[in-house]
Amino acid sequence: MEDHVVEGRARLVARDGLHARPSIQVTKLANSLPNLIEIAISPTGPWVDAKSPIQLMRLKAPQGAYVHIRVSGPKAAEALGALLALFDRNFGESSDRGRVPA
Amino acid sequence: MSGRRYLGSPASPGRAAGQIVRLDRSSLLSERRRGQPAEQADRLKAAVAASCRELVERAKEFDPPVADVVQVQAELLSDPTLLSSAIALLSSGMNAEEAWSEVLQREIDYFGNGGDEVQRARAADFSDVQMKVLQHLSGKVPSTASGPSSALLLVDEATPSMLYDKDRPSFSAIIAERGSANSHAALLARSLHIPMVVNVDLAGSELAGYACLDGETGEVVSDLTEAEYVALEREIFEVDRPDSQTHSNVVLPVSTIDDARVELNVNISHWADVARASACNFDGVGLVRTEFFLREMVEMTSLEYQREIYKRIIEAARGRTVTFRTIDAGGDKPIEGYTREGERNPFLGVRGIRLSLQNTLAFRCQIRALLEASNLGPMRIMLPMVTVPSEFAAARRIIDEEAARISGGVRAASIPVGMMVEVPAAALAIERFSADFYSIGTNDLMQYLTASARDTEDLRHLQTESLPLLYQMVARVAAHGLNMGNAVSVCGELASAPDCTADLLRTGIRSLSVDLERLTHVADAIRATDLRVDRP
Repeated sequence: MEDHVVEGRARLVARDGLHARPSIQVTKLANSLPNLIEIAISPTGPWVDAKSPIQLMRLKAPQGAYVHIRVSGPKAAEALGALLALFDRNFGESSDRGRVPA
Repeated sequence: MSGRRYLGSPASPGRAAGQIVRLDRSSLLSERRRGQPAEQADRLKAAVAASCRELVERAKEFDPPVADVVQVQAELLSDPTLLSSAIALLSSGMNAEEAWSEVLQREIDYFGNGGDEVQRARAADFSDVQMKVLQHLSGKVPSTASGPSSALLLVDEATPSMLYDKDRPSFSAIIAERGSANSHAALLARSLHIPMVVNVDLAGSELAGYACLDGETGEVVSDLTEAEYVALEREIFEVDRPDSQTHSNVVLPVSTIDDARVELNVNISHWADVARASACNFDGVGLVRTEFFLREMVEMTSLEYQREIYKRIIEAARGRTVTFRTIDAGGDKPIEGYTREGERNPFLGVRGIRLSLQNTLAFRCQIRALLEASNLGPMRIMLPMVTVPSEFAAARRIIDEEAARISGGVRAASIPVGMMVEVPAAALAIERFSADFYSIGTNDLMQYLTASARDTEDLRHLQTESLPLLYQMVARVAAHGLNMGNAVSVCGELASAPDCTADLLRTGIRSLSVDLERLTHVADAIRATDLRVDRP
C-alpha cells in the first residue's frame, strides 16, 4: 500500500471563491477519506485541515486563486485525484454563480 | 402621511405596516451558570448536538434555497474545531456559555471585519450558530416584547435563523440597521416573501410605534398614527396581493395511498396569510386566530373594524368555509386593558373563553361582527380553551342571543359553533359537550397533559415521550366525532408537521388545519401514507 505525501493544486473558478458551500463539499469529501488532508493558498502554507469547513473558509480564498492540496496516508494519490476533480467540476456549480448564493 | 422618514437599502421586495418590535438577543449572553469544567463540557457537547439535530430537522422542512442555508449552518456547527476550542477555554474558568460565545465571537469578528460582502454575510451565520447553542444551553428563546404577527421586526442585523426558526417571533417584515441585500438573511426573506430593508441609519434614535416599509425602495416611515397605519395595512393588502404562489399549489382532493380522503385546511394568523390564502388551494380555513388581528381594546370593541377584518378573510377564502376562533388572549398572548395583569401563572389563568365569559362586552362585539359578516360566505365559530360543558353552554347562549338581535337572525342561528379541544378535562369528557364540531389544539393539550412548557428545551423529552398519550386523546375525540357525525380536525403544530401526519391519520383524524407554508409538505405526507400498513 502506498503511504506517502502527495501535493497538487487547483484553480478556484467559483465567483465567490472558497465560500461556504464549496468549503463544505471539500470537507464532506475529506471526511470520507482516511487521509490527513491539508489545504493552503500559498505553496509554503500555512496549511489548514481540510476536514474543518471553518478553517477552509478562514483562508478567504478568492476566485482565481490557486488552492494547494497536500495529502498523506494510504492511497494518497487517489484521494488527491478525487479532491482535484471536485475543484475541476467547480463543486457542481456553474462557473458564474450557482443557484444558491454563498 | 406624517411620521419620520429613513432611507435604507432594499433587500426583499414588498410593503408592510405594523408595530415596531425590537428583537433582543442579549439576554442569552448574560446567563451565568457555574460548574466544573467537565460538567460544563458535557453541557456544551449536549447543546451542540441538540442544535445540530434541530438544524438538520429544520432543513428538511424547507425547499432550497432556504434548506441550503440551514444546512450550511448545520455543517458549520458540526465543525469539530469549534467545540474543541470552546472546551479548551473551559479550563480557564469560563462556563459553557462564555466559552462558546468567545469562540464564535472570534469567527464573527474574523469574517465580519474587512473582506467582501460574502465574507461579512458569513459573520451572520456564525452569529446564528452562536445563538442557537446558547438557546439550547439556556433552554430559552430570545425575548421580544410580545408583538402581534403584523409586527415589523427591528434588529441590528438580520440573521437567517430569524427567518427559519420554529420559535421565531411572528412578524410581517424586517428592518435592519446594518447588513446587505446579498446576505443569507436577505435571500431567505426573498424566498419566504418577507419584505426587508437593511442599512437603516436611525442616527441614534429608536423606532417605536407604528411604521411602514417598502422593500422595493428601502423607505421606512415611523411614528405613524393609528389611523394612518390601519389605512396603509388595508391598502397594502389590496394592492400587493400576491398572484399565485409557487409554494402553495396543492392539487385537491388529497388522499392517502389507500384512498382515505383527508380534508386539508389552512390556519390564518395575520394579514400576510390572508393575502397568501387568496392565491392558494385548500379545502377550508380551519383556524383564524382572531386575537392576532385585534391588538387593542379599541379594536376588540369596534364592530366596524372587526366586520371589515372578517369580510376580508371570508373573501380570501373564496367560498370555502372559514372557522373563526374567538379571541384567545391570555397565556403568552396578553392584550393591554383586556387580559389580567400580574397573573402568577398566565397559562393556567384567565385566558381564552374564560376571559370572554368575564368580559362579555368584547365577546359580544366579536360575535356580532362575525354574525354580520356571515352572509358573505360560509363560516363556523370556534371557542378556545373550553374546559367544562357549562362554559360551552354559556358561550353558546351568548351567541344565540346575539344572533336573535340582528336582522336575518334565522340564518345566523344556523352557523355551527364548535370548540377547541386543548384541555385534558375536555378531551376526556368530550361526550358531555354539545359542540357542533371539534378542533384539537395539540400545542396546549400537550403542555397541559405533561405540565411542561413547549419552549423549555430540557423538558422537551417529556412531550416527546408522551406523544402516544396525546394520540390516544386525539383518537378518543375522533371516535366521538365519528359517532355523532360531528367534524373533528387537528389544528395545532402537530398538524403542520409532516413527520407526524401518518400517526395523526392513524388515530382516525381525517381533517387537518396547517400553516400555509407547510401546505405542500403535509399534502405530500398524506399522499405517502398507507393506512393499511400499521406503521412503516
